[in-house]
Amino acid sequence: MRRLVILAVGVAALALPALAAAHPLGNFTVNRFSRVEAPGPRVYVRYVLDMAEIPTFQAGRIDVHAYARRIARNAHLVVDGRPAPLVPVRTALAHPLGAGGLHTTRLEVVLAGPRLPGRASVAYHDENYSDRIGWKEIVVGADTRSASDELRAYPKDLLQSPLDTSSVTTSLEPGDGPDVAPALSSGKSLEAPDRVADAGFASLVGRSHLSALVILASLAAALFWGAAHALSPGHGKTIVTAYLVGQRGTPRHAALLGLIVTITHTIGVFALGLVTLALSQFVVPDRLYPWLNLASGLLVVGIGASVFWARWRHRRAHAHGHHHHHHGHVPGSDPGTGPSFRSLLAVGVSGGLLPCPSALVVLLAAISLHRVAFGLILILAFSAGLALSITGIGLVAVLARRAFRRLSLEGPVMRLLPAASALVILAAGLAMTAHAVPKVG
Amino acid sequence: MTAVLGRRSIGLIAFVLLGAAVALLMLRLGPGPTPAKAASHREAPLIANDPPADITDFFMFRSTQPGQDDKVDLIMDVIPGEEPSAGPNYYNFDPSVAYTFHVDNNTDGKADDIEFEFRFKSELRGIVNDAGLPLSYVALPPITTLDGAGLGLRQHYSITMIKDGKRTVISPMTDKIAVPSNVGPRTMPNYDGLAAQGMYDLGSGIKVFAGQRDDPFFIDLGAAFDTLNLRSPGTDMLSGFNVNTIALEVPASLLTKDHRAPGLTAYPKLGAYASTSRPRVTVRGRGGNSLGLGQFVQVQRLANPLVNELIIGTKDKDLWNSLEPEQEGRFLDYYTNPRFALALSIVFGAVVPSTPRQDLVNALLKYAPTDKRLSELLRLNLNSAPGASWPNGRKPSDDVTDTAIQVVGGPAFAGAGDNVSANDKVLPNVFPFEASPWDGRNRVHQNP
Amino acid sequence: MRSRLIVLVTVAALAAAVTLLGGAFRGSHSPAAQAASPAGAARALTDAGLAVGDTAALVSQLQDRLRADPRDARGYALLGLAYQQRARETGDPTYYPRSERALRRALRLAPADAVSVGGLGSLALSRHRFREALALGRRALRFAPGSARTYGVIGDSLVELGRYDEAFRAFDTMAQLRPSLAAYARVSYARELLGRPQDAIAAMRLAVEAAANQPEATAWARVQLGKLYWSTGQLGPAAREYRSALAAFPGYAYAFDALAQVEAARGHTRRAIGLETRAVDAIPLPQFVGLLGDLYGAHGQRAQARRQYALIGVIQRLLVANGVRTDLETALFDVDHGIRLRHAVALARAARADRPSIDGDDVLAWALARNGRCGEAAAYSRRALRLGTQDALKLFHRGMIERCLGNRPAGDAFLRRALTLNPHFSVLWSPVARRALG
Repeated sequence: MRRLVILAVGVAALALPALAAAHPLGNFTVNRFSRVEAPGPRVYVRYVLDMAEIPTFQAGRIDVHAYARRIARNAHLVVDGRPAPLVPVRTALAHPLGAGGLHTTRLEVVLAGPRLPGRASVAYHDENYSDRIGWKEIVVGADTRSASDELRAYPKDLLQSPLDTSSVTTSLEPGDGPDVAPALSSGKSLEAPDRVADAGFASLVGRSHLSALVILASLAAALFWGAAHALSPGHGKTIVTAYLVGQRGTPRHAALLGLIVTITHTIGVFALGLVTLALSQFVVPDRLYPWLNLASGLLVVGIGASVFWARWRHRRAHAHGHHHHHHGHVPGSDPGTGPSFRSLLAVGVSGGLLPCPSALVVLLAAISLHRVAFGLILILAFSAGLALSITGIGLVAVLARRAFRRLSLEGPVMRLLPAASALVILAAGLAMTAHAVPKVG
Repeated sequence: MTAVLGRRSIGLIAFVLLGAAVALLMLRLGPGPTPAKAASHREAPLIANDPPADITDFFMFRSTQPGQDDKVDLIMDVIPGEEPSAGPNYYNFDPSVAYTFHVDNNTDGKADDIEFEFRFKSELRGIVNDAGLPLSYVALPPITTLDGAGLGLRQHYSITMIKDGKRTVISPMTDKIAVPSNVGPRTMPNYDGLAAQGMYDLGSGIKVFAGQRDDPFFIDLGAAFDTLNLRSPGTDMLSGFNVNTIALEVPASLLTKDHRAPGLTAYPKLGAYASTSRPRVTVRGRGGNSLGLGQFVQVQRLANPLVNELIIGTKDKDLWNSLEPEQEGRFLDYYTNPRFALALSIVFGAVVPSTPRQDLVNALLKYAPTDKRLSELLRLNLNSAPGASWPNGRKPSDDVTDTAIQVVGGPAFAGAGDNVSANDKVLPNVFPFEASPWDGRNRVHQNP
Repeated sequence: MRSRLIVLVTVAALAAAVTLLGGAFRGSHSPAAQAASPAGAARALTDAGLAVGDTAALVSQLQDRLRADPRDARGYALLGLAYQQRARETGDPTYYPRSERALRRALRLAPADAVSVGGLGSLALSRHRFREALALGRRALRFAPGSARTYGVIGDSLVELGRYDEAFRAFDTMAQLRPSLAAYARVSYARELLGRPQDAIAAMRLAVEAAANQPEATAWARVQLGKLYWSTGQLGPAAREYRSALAAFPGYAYAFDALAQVEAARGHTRRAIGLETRAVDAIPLPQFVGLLGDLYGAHGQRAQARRQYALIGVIQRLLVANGVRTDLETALFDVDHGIRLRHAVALARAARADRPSIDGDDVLAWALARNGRCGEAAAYSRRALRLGTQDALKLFHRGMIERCLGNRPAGDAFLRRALTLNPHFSVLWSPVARRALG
């Protein structure tokens, strides 16, 4: 189940057209959002300031209160024709990571306005950073939807220009609630999930100067990143572990598995590159992608289904009287000789099947920086690191199994493990397929 | 029991496919928004628009003003879609453009028999210039004459007649001023009075006007181009916009081959078109002085309305604009096989006349069906009474949209149209036959 | 079981193949929609209720139209071009990916369209991918041989690739097919490169006139005209053009930057700093930031200067993070400010490889010279001046190189030429040239 969730998240992450680098609206934008609301008797303005990498750098150390006061000064509220002062009451500051290892800024300020006498006409005009390029959005009302989710996820609709609203006129009624300032974002939602900061790995290919030393250091770093990445969810660690344990794998099998994962992963990313380059002239990506997504979903379904089916038939074959066979062998294995090459291949392939986003980023960056060879060996090193981790885990499993050889780990749990993992693969494939079907056609 | 992936090849297909999927995903990502470095090399604009040289309409007709039926009016409108409130610079003719009327009076299809060429010259003057104000027009005091001090930018113009290769300046640069854009009632309290000062009588029956007018074209543009999603009543989507107009009224006898008036002349058939041209420059060449007489290159031409929009294919428009009307033969297929007719038939499911459409060729490219030469000219028969409609000449009040639909669509479309049959402002029946422009402060665009 | 899997995989592969071949080569859609979609694009759209020069309104009109009819290839092509124009007007780089997507969608709907392919070409130019731009331009030309705009794309690419004769021929063809602001501006640039500033000014004046009623185009042309005056030492006329540019298009960053240089030349350093800050705030181009740093340095505000130089480092990192090879401008910055000079030679070489124009030659020459490799530098500097361009900075570099090689009289002659042409050609180096001459 965990794997399903993880896989689903992984697929979803791939499916979202996340820009792999840079503030989504450009590195030097200063983006502003205001929400004018009256949850209780008082008017409040929730203000969000999102500064991209360059303005963040130029700002240096941010004195939150000074910024909040300046924002309050330059945001003008007029209630029933009378200017009303806005006073900052709450602030929150975060520095989400952006491109090139630089930070961006997310500053939230709640500004308190006057009490509303009743239904009043309200005019709001935001003069902050008026000469800077950026998203300018104002919404009225606590529940009104923000096109950018309050500057967390800028829409990428082709038929939409960046918003440029600096003033709004409306009428507001005091709400029923108490006079409490609206809450600020905290934790994850203060971190702006729209941005996919480039991992340390992805930034390796962009090192400006490539001396021999730098290259070696980069390869070492890539190895490290690959190993670290393997520890994150996915990559079939569960399957590998269960498989080797259930199959009486030897350290040699563990190493072989690692090799297969490396090759699979590297080939996957290489194939990516070839396909990208060769087909870019002819392929119409918008049309093709949904079909290919569907195809890969079906494929994974196929793998999971066939594993499960094989397992099911094996169980039934067992049930028909092969009781003298040792329980616990899994499809494709001969008792006593451990896993067959084919099944190892299958498991290894499934581990390396989903190329990691950072590897793809590296590939693309390498191509555009005309450093294809360097990029490819970085990916190789990354895959090797990945494989090393998985091999390591597999080795641990093998050794643990040997250490606990006496213990009967070959109970029903272990017998069911391959079937369970097959179900997981099947479910993941179904999720991918279900995700892809609506997009087709 | 065999394993999951029996063949290595299947496995390869699997991750090639998957790889392709993710590859294409990445293709969609593309490079990120490039940090601002555009224009750190010399990045000159590549805009296609050239409004000062963009002719929106060309009219040629016998004057319908009472007592003036021996006159022919030639009118050219340029600079499409002038938003009346577009200060501070408003709209001006381009001093480096030659605005020219070309007339064919011997039915040979070549409109090089008589030509009238207009050239403009800008002048920065008075308080606006001295004070370095970034405005063209200010109410300091309100502008009531074309000499007004508040007219910071003013344009003079000259008219040169070219006949048999000879150039004669029939009106010099110094004595005529183009009427400026209608800024608003404070700056120009009596715009009509001001505009009247720009309607010049040059003697010998010649009148001329250059300046801003209300755009006389009327069409439910949105409906028409919403795949002919016509409605009733239609909305004139050009309402509230202005144009810059050059209007010339001359005795018909000045144009006819035998210099005789309508009814007396043996050559009553005239063909004409309007063009804008710009100076030719080359890298190795010198200068480029806009008032010099160096070689000019035609940028746009217009004879019959809607030909470029509806008949000529997109990929040939630039080429079409650079050629002469008598070279229309190379575009013959667009006429004999009009795409617009096909569209009408598909959208409305009605029968259109079968191709080849010789009727369109005769209407637009020939004086008479027996003509051998094909030339895209606006043709006027002086023997017809004043008030005739397009395609016999063209007046501002002609509903060319309806006519075009009916002519191209054929009998099944008799009476069809876009349900907009008149201009937003009433068109006057006196020279220059176009209405006073909307002013910048009070303009009105109609909505459906 | 295995057969089922095979079937499954085969089906998937077939599905992919069918869509690959079927979808990719899909031609344009129904002829009716094509015929009825606005043919006379420029006129129809500007007539459709838009003020001349109002690109924002044009963009929103096109967006509405495309929401109503998503299969309108022409609409997408025009939207792609309009987005590029918006990028020029607002400085907002996020219009470029939008433009690319719109143009690619247009191409999907109508593959052999010169406007879309040409639009991708001008996009490639903006991203400094000059070879790609040239290829796209040539492709566009095959679809529409008489298109002046396409010759502009081709000519611009050729200039940056150092193929000047071909470029000038393309500009001549462009001006012959359709004289316009775009053509005049390019002919002017060609004349400037050939060392004929007065003729360049004449052509740019035509461009200014042709830009009438279009604010950004007017501002751009006036700034270029002003720079021509500036390059020949005429500060007054230059400043006048820059102010006119700001009047036509308030907030135009390039005008602020150019005006800052004039004020610096006049000795009003504080005013210059204020103007350049406005330029940097609007669009932090490396050359703006670098100049601001130099101005602070000249004004004695070392800490502020260092902050601006640090910002250049940040910009360089962002460029790389966005997959952009090092710029000529950032390479030059490193060379000018003595930052890791040996590494700067490699940077300059890389930048020049992408852009083998006389600017590339000049930056590499200067980088080599600052590393003491004046013999090699001289060859590149000669290349940089081979067209006869009257460029004070390039002449200054040559002068310093000659002096470095021991040819004092020749070197001084070049320095004198530079200072005569434009006494204030550089905040950093004009004083150096003056001191060198004693």
